[in-house]
Amino acid sequence: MAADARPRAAIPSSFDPFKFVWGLLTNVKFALVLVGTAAFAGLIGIVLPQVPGPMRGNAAAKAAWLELRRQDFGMFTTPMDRLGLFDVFHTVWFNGLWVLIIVAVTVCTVSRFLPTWRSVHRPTRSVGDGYFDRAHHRASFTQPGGADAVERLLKKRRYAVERTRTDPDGTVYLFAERFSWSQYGTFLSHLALLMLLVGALLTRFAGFNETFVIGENTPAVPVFADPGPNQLFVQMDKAVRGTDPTGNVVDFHSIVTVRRGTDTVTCKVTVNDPCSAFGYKIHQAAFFNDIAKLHVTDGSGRLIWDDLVDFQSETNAVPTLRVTGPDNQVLFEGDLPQMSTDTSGALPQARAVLSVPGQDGAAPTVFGATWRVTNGVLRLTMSSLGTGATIGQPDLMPGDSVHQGPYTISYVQGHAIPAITLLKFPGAPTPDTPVTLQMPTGADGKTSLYISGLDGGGFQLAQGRPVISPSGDTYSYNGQVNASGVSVKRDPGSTFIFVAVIMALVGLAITFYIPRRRLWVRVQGARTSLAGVAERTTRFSRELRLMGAELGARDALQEGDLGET
Amino acid sequence: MLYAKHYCSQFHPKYNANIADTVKANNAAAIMAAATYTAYVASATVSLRGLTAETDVGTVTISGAPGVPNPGFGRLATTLLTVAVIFLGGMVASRWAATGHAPISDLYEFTATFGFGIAAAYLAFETFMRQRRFGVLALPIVCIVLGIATLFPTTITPLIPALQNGPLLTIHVSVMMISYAVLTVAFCGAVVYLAQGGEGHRRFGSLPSAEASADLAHRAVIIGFPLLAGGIALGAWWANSAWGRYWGWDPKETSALVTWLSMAAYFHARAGNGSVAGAPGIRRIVPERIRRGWRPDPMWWLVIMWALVMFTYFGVNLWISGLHSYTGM
Repeated sequence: MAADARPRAAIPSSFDPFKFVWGLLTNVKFALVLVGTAAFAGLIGIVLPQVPGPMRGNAAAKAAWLELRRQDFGMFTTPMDRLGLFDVFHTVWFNGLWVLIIVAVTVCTVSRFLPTWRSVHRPTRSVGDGYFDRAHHRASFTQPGGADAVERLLKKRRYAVERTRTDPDGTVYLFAERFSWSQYGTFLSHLALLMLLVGALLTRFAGFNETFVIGENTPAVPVFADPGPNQLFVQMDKAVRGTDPTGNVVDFHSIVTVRRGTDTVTCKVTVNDPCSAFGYKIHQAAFFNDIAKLHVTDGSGRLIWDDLVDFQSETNAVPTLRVTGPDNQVLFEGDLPQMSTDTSGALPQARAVLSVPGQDGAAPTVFGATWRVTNGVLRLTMSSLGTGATIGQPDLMPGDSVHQGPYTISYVQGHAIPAITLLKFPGAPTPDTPVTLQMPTGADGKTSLYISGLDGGGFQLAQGRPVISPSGDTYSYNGQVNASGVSVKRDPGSTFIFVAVIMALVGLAITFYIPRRRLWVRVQGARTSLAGVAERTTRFSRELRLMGAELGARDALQEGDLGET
Repeated sequence: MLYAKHYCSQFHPKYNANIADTVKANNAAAIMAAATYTAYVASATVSLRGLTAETDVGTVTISGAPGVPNPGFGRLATTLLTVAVIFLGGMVASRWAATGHAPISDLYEFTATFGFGIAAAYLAFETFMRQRRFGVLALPIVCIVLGIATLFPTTITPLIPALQNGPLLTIHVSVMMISYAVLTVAFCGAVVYLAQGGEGHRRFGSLPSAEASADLAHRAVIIGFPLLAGGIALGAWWANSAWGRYWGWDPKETSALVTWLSMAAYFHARAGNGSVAGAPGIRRIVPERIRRGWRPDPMWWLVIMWALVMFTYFGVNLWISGLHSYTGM
């Protein structure tokens, strides 16, 4: 105990954290771990569903999306989400992994420069005799020409040859090298990754990229949040979706006017041909034809809404109907929007009322319609609104018809029409009251707007025919608007990225296609021994044996050297 | 050319029937070539058995000696392959004339052209490296790929707006396709190498040596790797032009990157002598017993690489939706 109580001399730890980290980052096996992990992580991001971009910043939308995933992943959904497996490419660990790879590449590039320079400019010119017996790539044969013949052959094969030593017994040692500078190739391709990083950082932090949805003939959209003399305005003169006679989409383009101060640039933007204006590029990012123009005034005529309603590609399945009278006169043709939901049955069903104008001034005839989608097919049941009795058979399929009195009701098809539920809609009883808007298409191809959820139920707005709601507001639907998603972009990193790609490809080409060879030769009487290094071939020994054969050696070749092996 | 354009036009009612006939003819040529390559390798097995029978009675046992294949079968196999490549090339050319753009815009076109690419790439390597026996693996792959192509719709539809960039469509997709074709040849080399038991071993005398297999695999990879890098870079350039960003982690582009990374791993594994267990840090975590046994050959990375090529090619197009879902289905 007494001995233990004596103070011990401090022993410095042999562990050097800097050396350890440096060693780790320059270690090729560790690089393999990093590359393999990045590949595996990428694979996870491909195989598992990833949160769509627009939902990433919206907690409610993301939660709803996760609930849908729960059907597939059950109890694992929450832990998988916590690990970021549904948003791999934006997680800290994934980005951290790439940062680590970039740091490793940087350290590796720095650390290998001096050894590479030394290897190119001050190579080891002499090796011990033992090397000729144990080198991985070697050959030994008897040839009559001596060192001069070897030297001539090597020079013919574009080697730089040097006699390093001649022993008193006549043994000659040669050192030969070809394309030693190609060692800079890997250096260049690793450097390209760093250049790529610089470009990406410039793009991310010094660039500008904003996407706007701009409708045709709507007021110009300001590009920057802060107004100022450099403010840009983009106006959509025309948003076009062209189709061929069979309905295939063959063209998306926009005609935009970009304005800065009094200067304007008008240009055509296609998916593959962005337009340039005032140092910015305008890209066609998307096309929308599910946007409605709505105008609302209150009872006193004050404007309370004059904006676009973007249905955001959300849809609702509704039946397209055709009703004919006794003389085959078409009384109704078009989509029937959903007006309410019938929850009385085992399964909820969409419900609507179809009003068919009476003939010769008679009152309109009204039918009830309910439908649900089963196995991808919309099944429709028509009923008499007064009695509630089903007309014809229930669960009509597309193409079926039923008859009621003088009317024939044909169920043409199921149709997905733009439909969206909005909060804070003008005229809603409270800001939290959901209001549903649908945009059905009529027989003439024109759209109308059906609004439900306001005080007093729903109503249909035809283009140019305003409707006054029970609360006194006037709603005017000014038609469907084509719009384009337009990205305005400035990318100061693009030059760096371009140079990086060129550097990477040149580096790879030098590394792979310039056949670097380093060779040591010993000519001892008639016996010639060759040993060397070559990175790009696994059959350098065969190449050396073939050289022996070219020198006239009969014992150089092995079985299969000249044919298939 | 005008004749081809008229005859193969999508509006011509005979066009689909002609496609079916052409595909059948091409598949027949490829199947015959595959059968002859198999016969060629089998003839080496027969010569090996003959050698064993002669020596069995004596005291000398020769095992693992390289078999000598019948050169006649070899020449016939190469001739049939050349015919198949010409047929497939003709099919690609006629489809190009009919559509007015490189036939690489949907899964049928891409898969059929991929079959042509593998056959042509293998023929080039066979000629350059004078190694005929890898055909026993490469040609069945060509037949399978062409067979898969017949499962996709052959109807010509107009190019969607995103693909309406003739030069980039041709260059980007062609470079990707050629790289995949060349990497398939690398895969054949890697499989034979591993089947032989690695460098210095020869389990099957009738198949090429492990050294020759490694050489073929490596030579193919050093062509496929930069081509894939170039194809990805061209794709990023096109994405920037079309969508205003170079990279968006779309499944197809990510999958191509993962494939490329698997080859980067192969090169690092070669430099690091195969095992990752010796890396600093890992060395401290992984027990010595496991470290010693865990030395997978770098060639396994090429097998993984090809599985990833197939996944990028079919898996991502058919089962995972993204910006590259131009399946034509």
